[in-house]
Amino acid sequence: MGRWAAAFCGGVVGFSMWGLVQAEVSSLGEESFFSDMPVVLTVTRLPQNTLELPASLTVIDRRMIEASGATEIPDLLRLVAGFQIAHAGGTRTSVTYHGMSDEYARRIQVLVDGRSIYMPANGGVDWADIPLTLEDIDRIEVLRGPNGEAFGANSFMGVVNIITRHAAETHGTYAKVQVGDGNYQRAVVRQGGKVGDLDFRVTFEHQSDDGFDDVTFPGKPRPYSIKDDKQSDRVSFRGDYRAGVNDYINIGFGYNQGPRGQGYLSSGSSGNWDVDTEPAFDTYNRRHYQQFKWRRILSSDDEFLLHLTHNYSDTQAHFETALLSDILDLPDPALVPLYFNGISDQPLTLQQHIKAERYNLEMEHRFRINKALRWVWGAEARRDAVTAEGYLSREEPVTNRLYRAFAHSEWRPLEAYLVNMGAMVEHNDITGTNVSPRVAINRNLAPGHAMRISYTRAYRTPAILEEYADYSHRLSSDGSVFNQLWKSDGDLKPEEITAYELGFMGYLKDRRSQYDFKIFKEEVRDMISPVHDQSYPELYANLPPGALVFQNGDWADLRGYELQVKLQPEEKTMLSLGFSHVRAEGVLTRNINPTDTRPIEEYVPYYTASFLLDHQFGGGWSGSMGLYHVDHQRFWHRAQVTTLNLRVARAFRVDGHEGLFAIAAHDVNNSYYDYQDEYVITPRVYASLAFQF
Amino acid sequence: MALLLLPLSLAAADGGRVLVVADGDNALHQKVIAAFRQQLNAAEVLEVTQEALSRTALQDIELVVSLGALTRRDLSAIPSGVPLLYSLITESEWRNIADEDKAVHRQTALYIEQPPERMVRLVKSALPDRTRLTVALGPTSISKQLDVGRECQRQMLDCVVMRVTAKGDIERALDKAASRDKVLLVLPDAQVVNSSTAHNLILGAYRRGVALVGYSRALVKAGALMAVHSTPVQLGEDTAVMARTILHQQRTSLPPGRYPSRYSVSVNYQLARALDLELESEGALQQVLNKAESDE
Repeated sequence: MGRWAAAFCGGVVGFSMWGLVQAEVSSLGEESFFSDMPVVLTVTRLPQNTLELPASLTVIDRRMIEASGATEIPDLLRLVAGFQIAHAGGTRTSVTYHGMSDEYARRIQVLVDGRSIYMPANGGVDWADIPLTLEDIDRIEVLRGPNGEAFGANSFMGVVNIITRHAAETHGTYAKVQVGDGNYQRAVVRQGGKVGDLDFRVTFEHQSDDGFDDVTFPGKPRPYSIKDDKQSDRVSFRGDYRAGVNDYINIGFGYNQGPRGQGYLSSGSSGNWDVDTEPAFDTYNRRHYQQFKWRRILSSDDEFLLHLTHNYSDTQAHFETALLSDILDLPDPALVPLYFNGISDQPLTLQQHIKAERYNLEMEHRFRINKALRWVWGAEARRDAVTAEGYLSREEPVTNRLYRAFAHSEWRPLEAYLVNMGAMVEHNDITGTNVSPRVAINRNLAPGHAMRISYTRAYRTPAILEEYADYSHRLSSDGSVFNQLWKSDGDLKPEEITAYELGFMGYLKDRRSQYDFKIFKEEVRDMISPVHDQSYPELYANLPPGALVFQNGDWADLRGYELQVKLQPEEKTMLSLGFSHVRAEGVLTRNINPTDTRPIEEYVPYYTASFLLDHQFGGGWSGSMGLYHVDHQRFWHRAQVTTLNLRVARAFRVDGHEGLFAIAAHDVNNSYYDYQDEYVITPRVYASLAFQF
Repeated sequence: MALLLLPLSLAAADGGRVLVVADGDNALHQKVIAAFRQQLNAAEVLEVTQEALSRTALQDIELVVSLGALTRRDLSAIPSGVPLLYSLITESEWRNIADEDKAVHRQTALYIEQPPERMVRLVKSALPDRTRLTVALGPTSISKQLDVGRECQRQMLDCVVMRVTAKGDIERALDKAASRDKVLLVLPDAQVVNSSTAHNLILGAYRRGVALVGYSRALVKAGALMAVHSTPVQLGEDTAVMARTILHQQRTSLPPGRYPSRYSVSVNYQLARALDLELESEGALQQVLNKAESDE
């Protein structure tokens, strides 16, 4: 009882005037005992015990975010077992789970505070353009495996749920500057506060870099140089308003804009072809969103949600190629009319302007019927509209309306068993109606340890560009089609995945150490692939036939096991491990007429591993090391990646204000590519200084 | 302001006319009064609002029961010979009232909050494997430090008190609790728990895996793990028991102020599952507390 005695001897001296300043809270009336209080740990905020989840979950918390030294959100997802990322230059990152992706990964649903940012036009997520600042993220919850039953179409291979910090947790002023190799510059300023019952914050961010370094291949006279510099200016706002004892309003909006480099400055390995057909230029991207959430929380077991969101994205991109005579290396421009039915020598144009807009309204009600049975049900309506004259060869927008309803029950028939059952019924304009069911049975094996068997099915609706693509090089003189690049005949079926899992999960004392192991089988059918139709007829006889078409038909069976572990033997040390082994069977079609298929296993890495160690040394010093490995995998070129990140940081106080200085070295062990051999990632060092006032 | 005088029944075995000073529009007060009347069914219970007290004739009134504190003006309307029983006030409020008015009126009180010892026993009963308890005390509740310490000693709990006096102290208390068996007990204190601090306290506790033990059902509903508290009905019944005693002991001194003897235990089982805690049922925990108190 020594500590008690010491505390008691400390007495009551030292009570400051703070209490007087907080005059409105100084009295303790009967309402302090009987008035309802805001329900803080709601059924949605209070995640299910991981032992009771119907799917595998990886949580990337703030400590992991800081320790990783990540400069962009996709960097964080390498910590998730089975996730791979690839960089198609400095402006486009592809994030996939269990491989099977190109530069536009389309099989993962991504949500920010419940708002889907999965792009309606070409599917997937444009990670560089999310109006979201890393420092505002509270945690990222990643559900590994299909989750159509809970999140609807496109929650196909997994769901990434990014949750930002509550406005009440970001009061005060925060400022950060960060610089690094590649002319990386970043500044963040955040101001948070409280006005009445409204907690708010507004965050400004500027970020720019020069993209990847140029690459000189042996024997080539010139470096291979892509234009992939980028700049983003962002502002985001979050307001959390307590409208009543049980009513909570959340308002958010964000805006992001900036140029993105595209095209080629120098073709190192293929003559001038790349520069001639896609010369360097800047696209200009604008994204913004607005969202409104109303929660009525009657208890931690009874919650109603109404959620309205609007997403807008606009990519301005239009360029001209070199003259046809230059592209084709013709010795005389006068040969062009002879080759192509009398057309003059001229550049071709490519129109890549895409405007996409989404309105989404959803409601959800969670409640408990009795101690053994809990229900969630809800409905959603969505309208996507995409205007992309260049890609779709039509001026008017293409729309896709989506309606869905779902119900999910969590039933505990016996103390040791929990049955999760549910289904989502969904209708959209492109593929009609689908039903995504799930059944999962969890059984407690011992205190803190459980197993799970589950069956689930999910769908991916074709993106609008997959269903309606009609994309061509056009003559600059009159806008007529010169050669077809993409063409979709439509009538695509949704991709379908059926997954079976046997999982074991648990944690050790104090929940500081957790594990999740699963054995899985995923059957993917009707995969939509962009396929090169080698006999697609061209208008001009001297052009070789061919265009990219979209078709169902590829398939994959994935079997394997996966382990996610987080160890924290003491508060100072944290270790995160992710490991995935996948054996794949199936085919992916590259060409038709004649057909050329590749085994799907080329696109799925056998092994994926991540290791992140973070330690606080004392005196404000901390250090971390992240090691990431992806076995041979083909996004474009086949590559194997092993890369090491290091970070050291020192926390300090100046005049009572908290500061943090950090240096992070990325990819210190080597230069590598993970998408295409021309896009080489080189070691980089970043330094940052942050203050919280 | 309309005067409410609602005779319920004529004096009988419990005898006497009892005047209850309450807020007629306050649902809590009405629940307390309903339980009070039911328990004291043989007495004639009249009800008056605080505003109307000074205009009320108090002849033949044998006991005034006040739900909440009274002003000097209210007190001056009560004849000095009439005993006064406060209910729905805190122990610290009672101490202040008693100091000011003890020379004028014979009076006593039923406190609204639970004895600190009962709260510590709840921690021990519900989480028997935890041996280190952290307690957050503010300017008001610091007076309970000794009581908490004694009970911790009895329960073999290693206790540390974290004082909450300034911004950031709640986080420090949570950090301390997180480093020592992850239990934080908060006593009623407007500085520790209020609408501004509740969010960070509850969310901070959850994030650190700390079991937050409090003093009201509302706190449990908001996200604390558990609480021991008295419902309005229980407070009404306890008030009636004290009133009966006073009516039977007109000529003797009044019983001292005391804590409620009727109480409930509330547990947030959803949170318990999320924290991987297996807790007994609310009824079982209450029985354990009852037994401990009856054994004393």
